[in-house]
Amino acid sequence: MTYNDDFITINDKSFILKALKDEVRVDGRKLYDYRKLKFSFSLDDCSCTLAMGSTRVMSVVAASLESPFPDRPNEGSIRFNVELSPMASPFFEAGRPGEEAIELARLVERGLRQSHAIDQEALCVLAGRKVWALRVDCHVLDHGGNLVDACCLAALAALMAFRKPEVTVGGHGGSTEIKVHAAEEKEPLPLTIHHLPIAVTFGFFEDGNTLVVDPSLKEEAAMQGSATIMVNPNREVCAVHKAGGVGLSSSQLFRCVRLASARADEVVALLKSALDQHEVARVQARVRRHRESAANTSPAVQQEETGIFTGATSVRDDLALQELREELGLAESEDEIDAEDTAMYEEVEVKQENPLSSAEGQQGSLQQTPAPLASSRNQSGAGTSAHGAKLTTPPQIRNLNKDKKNGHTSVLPKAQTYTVKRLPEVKYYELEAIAAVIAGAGQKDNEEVRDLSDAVKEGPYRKKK
Amino acid sequence: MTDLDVPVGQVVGPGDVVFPIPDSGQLRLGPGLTTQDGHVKSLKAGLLQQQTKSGQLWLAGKQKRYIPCDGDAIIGYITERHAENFVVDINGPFSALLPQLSFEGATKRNRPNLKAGDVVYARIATASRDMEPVLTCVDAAGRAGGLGHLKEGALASVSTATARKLLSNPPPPVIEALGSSLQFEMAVGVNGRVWIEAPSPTTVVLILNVLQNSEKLTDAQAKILAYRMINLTASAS
Repeated sequence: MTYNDDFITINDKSFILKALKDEVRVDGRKLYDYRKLKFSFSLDDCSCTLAMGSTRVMSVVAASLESPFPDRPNEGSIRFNVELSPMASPFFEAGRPGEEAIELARLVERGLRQSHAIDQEALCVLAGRKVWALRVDCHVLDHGGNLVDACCLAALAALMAFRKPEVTVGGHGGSTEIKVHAAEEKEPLPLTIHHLPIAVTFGFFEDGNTLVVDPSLKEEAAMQGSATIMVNPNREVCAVHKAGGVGLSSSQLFRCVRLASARADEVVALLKSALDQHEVARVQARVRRHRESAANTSPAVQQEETGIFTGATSVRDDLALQELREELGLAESEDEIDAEDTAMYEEVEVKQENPLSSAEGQQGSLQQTPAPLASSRNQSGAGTSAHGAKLTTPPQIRNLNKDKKNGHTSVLPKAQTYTVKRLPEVKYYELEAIAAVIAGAGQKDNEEVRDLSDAVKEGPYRKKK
Repeated sequence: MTDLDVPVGQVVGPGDVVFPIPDSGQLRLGPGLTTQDGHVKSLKAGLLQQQTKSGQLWLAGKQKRYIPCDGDAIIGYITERHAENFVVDINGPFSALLPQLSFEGATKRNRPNLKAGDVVYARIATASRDMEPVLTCVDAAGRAGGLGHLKEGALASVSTATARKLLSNPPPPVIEALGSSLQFEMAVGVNGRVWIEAPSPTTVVLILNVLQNSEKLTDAQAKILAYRMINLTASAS
């Protein structure tokens, strides 16, 4: 099955066949070699761009609350759509999806929805009234061959990276109220995915005697037939697609299934590691987002806070980050600080040293000198911020809190203590800790929080100062 | 001939005045340049270059789409066969027409035996902005001179600038590196297509990949790439 009407010259076609006799492919691959996969996810949790050699597909997931189908009141719905953009190939035209686009969309749907990879019952919000209706759009950006594999994989990756907003259903009397929370209020949730079907396409030459995996554009034009197998790492075949082209014997088909199975394991490993990396970037972005929103809220409760970071409600997050801003405010906005502020800071600079050093002798818990925090301002601060700021602010400095010129209250002296201007590399173990805290993974008691701050203390940041 | 006033190597943008037309002497203008109001003006963004052999001035800009220009040697493939001519795709805005009699030794009774899908190496006889370009596979004397049907081999796509570089005289280092240990036949069309033929398919695949990957490399890097790939395949086989 070919997705292109493009011409292949007689020379190219006969060359491809001649080279295949020597088990050489035009792009230098061997018969069973796949092209390199490269995933990139967006930070707004809804899209994934996949590059497979020169084939590029971008997949976007959108969710909206709608009424369910009458015969399935407990299930949400998923719709798949494939757009063949004219920038992908000179043979694609803008406008309504043609035959090829519809066939691709059907294939993706068969593999992902009809195999029950995505749990549709988990998409239900209010039975019979409101369910999540997902819509997955795959945009083909560049056609370098093998669009089936690329679209299926991009759609799956986007669904795995997608986060749906948290919903609370409240009812007063006769009316039910559904509140969809913004991402800043409540952390959005991933979809429930039961298994991961991966599509693998094969091209056949010489009346089915020679097969290649992952055909490129010219090979697709020269091949005599093709088959697509969708397998998951649990060795289950989710879909088989063989439409037209040269016939296959059953042994050849089983060989394809075995090859596809091996490939599915590889692809899932690659996908998972790409998602892990994306998760790190996500948490970073989320911490940044929180800090910025915290800077805009008033630090009303700060003085009552006992300095223990207990849980991950959004209010606490804001507070914690507000304290973090206090600690590190200067380091963060060095550029913005004008002369007036500088003057204020200098006068308290000397005094600051003592309280902090005396504070170290206190409780013994949650003590963090500002310098290490500054150097790790981005990440560890979120978890350890509470400990630092409370301490020991002598009255003079307290008054400065009223100065909100730059949108934050800067308490600590500038630059002399903090020499770091650039953000250091984020340490993954720190992020894990922060992520756990933010996600509210268990209400942390004093013990655990102490461990975190101790861990950071022992970490490399200490030595930097 | 070289005109000393010509700023060869200068970067120009579309619509720029490059230099005023000199009072005496001959001026050959190639792709990307035109004359207006007594000045030579540029039609696109690029680097002003001059061909050493004919003294032709042209603009080298990185583009994949080919704009036909008189006298260019191009590689095209036949898409249709009509009564009197072939319709040839030359990677440009229009398909070109190749009269069936524009082949060496062709008469009304003895027509070339070409069909859709065949690759030809042709020269552009006439190219104008508004009409389809017309090709020819013979020179003025009626001899083929290398033009005509290309049999076997494989095609590669490069940018037009790279194709012109491959045609320069002396040949670029990458061609010399490939030629030092491999035996092959190559035809370069300035429309961004290269045709390679060699005794073994591995050689052809190697050359295709080297040429396609040398687009973004400097001459020295491309030469190193060629040597490395030759060594790899030699040691593997």
